[in-house]
Amino acid sequence: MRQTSCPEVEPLLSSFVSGALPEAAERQVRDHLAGCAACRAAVLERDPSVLFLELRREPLPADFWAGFQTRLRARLEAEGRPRGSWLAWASDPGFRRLAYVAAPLAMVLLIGTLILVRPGGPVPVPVAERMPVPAFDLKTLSAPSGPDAPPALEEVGSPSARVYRFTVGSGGDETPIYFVVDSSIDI
Amino acid sequence: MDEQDLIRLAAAGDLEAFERLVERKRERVFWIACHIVGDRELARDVTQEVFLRLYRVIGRFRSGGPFDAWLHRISTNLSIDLLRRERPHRDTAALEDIPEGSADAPPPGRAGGQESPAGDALRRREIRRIFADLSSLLSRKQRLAFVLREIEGLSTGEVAAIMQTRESTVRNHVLQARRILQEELRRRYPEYCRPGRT
Repeated sequence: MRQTSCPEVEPLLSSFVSGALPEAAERQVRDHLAGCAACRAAVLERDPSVLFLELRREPLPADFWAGFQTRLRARLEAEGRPRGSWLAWASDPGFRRLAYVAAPLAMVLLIGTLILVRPGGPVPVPVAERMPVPAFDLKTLSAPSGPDAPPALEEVGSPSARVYRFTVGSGGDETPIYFVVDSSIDI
Repeated sequence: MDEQDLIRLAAAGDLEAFERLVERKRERVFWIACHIVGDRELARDVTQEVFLRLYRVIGRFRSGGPFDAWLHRISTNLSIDLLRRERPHRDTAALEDIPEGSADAPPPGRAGGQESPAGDALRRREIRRIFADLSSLLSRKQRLAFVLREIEGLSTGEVAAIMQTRESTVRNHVLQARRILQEELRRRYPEYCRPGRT
């Protein structure tokens, strides 16, 4: 059964239900629905949530607030003066903008100061140093004798390892091969 | 005396000014709390806590700022806190309140075409109970947006200021809340979705 709704609102109800009304018009219709049972009934099937508009501001009993102020006052007097006024400057937007810039700067300054004044002074920066090149002692362990002789093997003495080098091939196609013997290498 | 003067005096510790501010604001604070906690007595307790909290922090309020949005944010936060603490107790009480077979019974109040103050009060109580039941299916933000905009009748901008979010987000929350409430009303309380029952 179609419900009778108010003529000034009726043309807007379909758009209200579909959410197609601009904000101001939608608010007007909603306010009207809150107080008009006939118009609520007209849209109830399409949008049952208008049922809850009935909860808007029902009249309160006359004595509802009786004693409220007295109880509140007793608690307020126990509280003393309002607190927090000393923090009012912190909510100022100008202060907040300044804080966004000042806080990182202060952090950098603090960290820099801590590094510079720590016991022992600043951390020494490592400096690259040219290491002396060890003198290699090259000696031939076996000498080739003839074209079919095995390649010459040379021992290169070094402070930490022993390197053996021999060459295979001949003419312009020689390939050096190295053996490194180091007691510190753990295979 | 205008509101800004009352706020300034209250912040300076003037109890008379603060009480006048309370008288002006308490009803809105109460209804916001009532729609969230779903119980008048609890809502009145929340209202008192809201003003006590306000008194403690009113010195931090920046003159000229949106005082109502600030106050209503305190109201919604304390209401939600109380709801979380009271939830187990409230659920039990709500179930005890429901008479057997109530889902099939006709809604009270205007259902039979007879209107009376007692019938209206009974119907509102029943609708409040249904809202408490169904709104537990909404997210906290959906519930807040629906209560503040649809039931309390605040503008989307005012709700956005209270919830500290964008207007488009508020509209989205309300849309989602309406959809959930529509579906659940049709499913659980079909007798309330028929014309002639309102």
